[in-house]
Amino acid sequence: MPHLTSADKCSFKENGCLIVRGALTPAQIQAAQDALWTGIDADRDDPATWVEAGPRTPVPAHHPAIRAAVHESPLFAMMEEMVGEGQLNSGSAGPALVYPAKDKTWSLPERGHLDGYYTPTNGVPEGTVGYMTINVTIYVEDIDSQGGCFTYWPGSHNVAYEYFKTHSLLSVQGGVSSDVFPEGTFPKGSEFVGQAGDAIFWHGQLFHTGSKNVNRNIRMALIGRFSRKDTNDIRFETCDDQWAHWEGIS
Amino acid sequence: MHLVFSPTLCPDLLLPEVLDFAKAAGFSRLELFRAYTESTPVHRDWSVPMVRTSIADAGLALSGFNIRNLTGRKADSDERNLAYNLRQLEWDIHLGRALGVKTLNTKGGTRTDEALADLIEGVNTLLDNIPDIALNLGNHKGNRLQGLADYQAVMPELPERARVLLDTGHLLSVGEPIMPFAEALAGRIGLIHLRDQQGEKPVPFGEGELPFAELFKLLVDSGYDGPLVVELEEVDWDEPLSAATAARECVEGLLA
Repeated sequence: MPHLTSADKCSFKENGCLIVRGALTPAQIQAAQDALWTGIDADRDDPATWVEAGPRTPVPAHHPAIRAAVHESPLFAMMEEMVGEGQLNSGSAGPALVYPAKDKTWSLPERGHLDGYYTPTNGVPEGTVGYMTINVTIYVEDIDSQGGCFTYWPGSHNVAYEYFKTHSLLSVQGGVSSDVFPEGTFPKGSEFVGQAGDAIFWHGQLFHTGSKNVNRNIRMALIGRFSRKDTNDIRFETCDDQWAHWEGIS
Repeated sequence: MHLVFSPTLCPDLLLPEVLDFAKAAGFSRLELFRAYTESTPVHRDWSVPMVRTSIADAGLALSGFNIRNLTGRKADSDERNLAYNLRQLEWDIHLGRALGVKTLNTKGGTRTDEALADLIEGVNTLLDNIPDIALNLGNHKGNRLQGLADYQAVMPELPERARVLLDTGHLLSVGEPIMPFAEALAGRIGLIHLRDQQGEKPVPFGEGELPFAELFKLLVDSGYDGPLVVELEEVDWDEPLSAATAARECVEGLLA
């Protein structure tokens, strides 16, 4: 039985993202939190120690409780409903924590970026672009506004699609949006505010960014990036049909 | 054997101008380069489908694609990191596949034992990972693959899908006799880059030290049926278009 409705898929198609509430069970949330706390350099019972603590990735993505968030919940099946059953490489969603900042000034990020682009420190080889079909950000803690929310620009996948029809994939230095959006045209972003167990799917060419956390909670998010198994055959194609490789959506 | 135009003659021209140039010089096929030329398919104002369409609309065929060198090192820091370098080359190879090319050309790194080991391991890895392609390994002055002795050390360690790109200009530049090189590697030649030179100086085809007739006879006798890429770098004896036309006519005359 499918998890997503036609309306869900239409919303993803239009916005390049889809929010799913309550994707994880309380037990899955608890297990993920427990796993993360085994690697956090702070006292779980003393929020004062959470401020500017670390690390960003306390346990690896293949930790059973972390991997379960994608593969023992409906989330992977939902992505396959959009992309096509058996079409996605397996993978996991790795922890990406944002600790409360000492400085409590906050503003909504003005610009986003595309993932997969080279910077001198991010491990992406120079002169290449990583290819992601669909990504997911999963909260395993309640995250309010200004709490380090995943921030995204609905519909920006359509702008990227049009841009790459007439530009090299490599033309976006560092993946920053200023190369794709003409000066003064970048819209206001949206914060993904959610509770533990909520998730947002986002298109591989949706502009997004992290944000500063000035709240009490640690932003406990798991972020997974998933590509089609035939990525190497389609990564350079800008098809006339933007959804040609999305069997559940096209 | 068939003739192929190389944009190294006009490295500053954009792809549409290169296509016009190749046609005007009488060629029906061309090569492209990932680096060195403005006609690169990764030029910021060109998507891969645009490149494919432009070449097809010009009535030309893309014969080959020269990707980055297999140096075993990171380009931005020069740190030894074969895995990183191979990810770059894999990306280039899939770019070539998207352009319709299944045989890619590359070269090695510096003339060190480390670069030799990385070249052998790297080519084996690439060919294992991407089973529908072949790689031509080019000789180049100062490169890990410069002369016959280098190839004799490398080729036995590589599968048949690794072939030799015989670049006459770079052999002449290092004073390496062309015919012994070609004779020793005849069974594994996958591509010829033709450039006539007097020593290191490029000259009009037929006026330099390149033994065209001998080389072509050897290629025919060894069953070579692949591309002959006409390379004219740093033309200073004629207008580029007339130089390219003359070079094509020279080679066609020798093949007739």
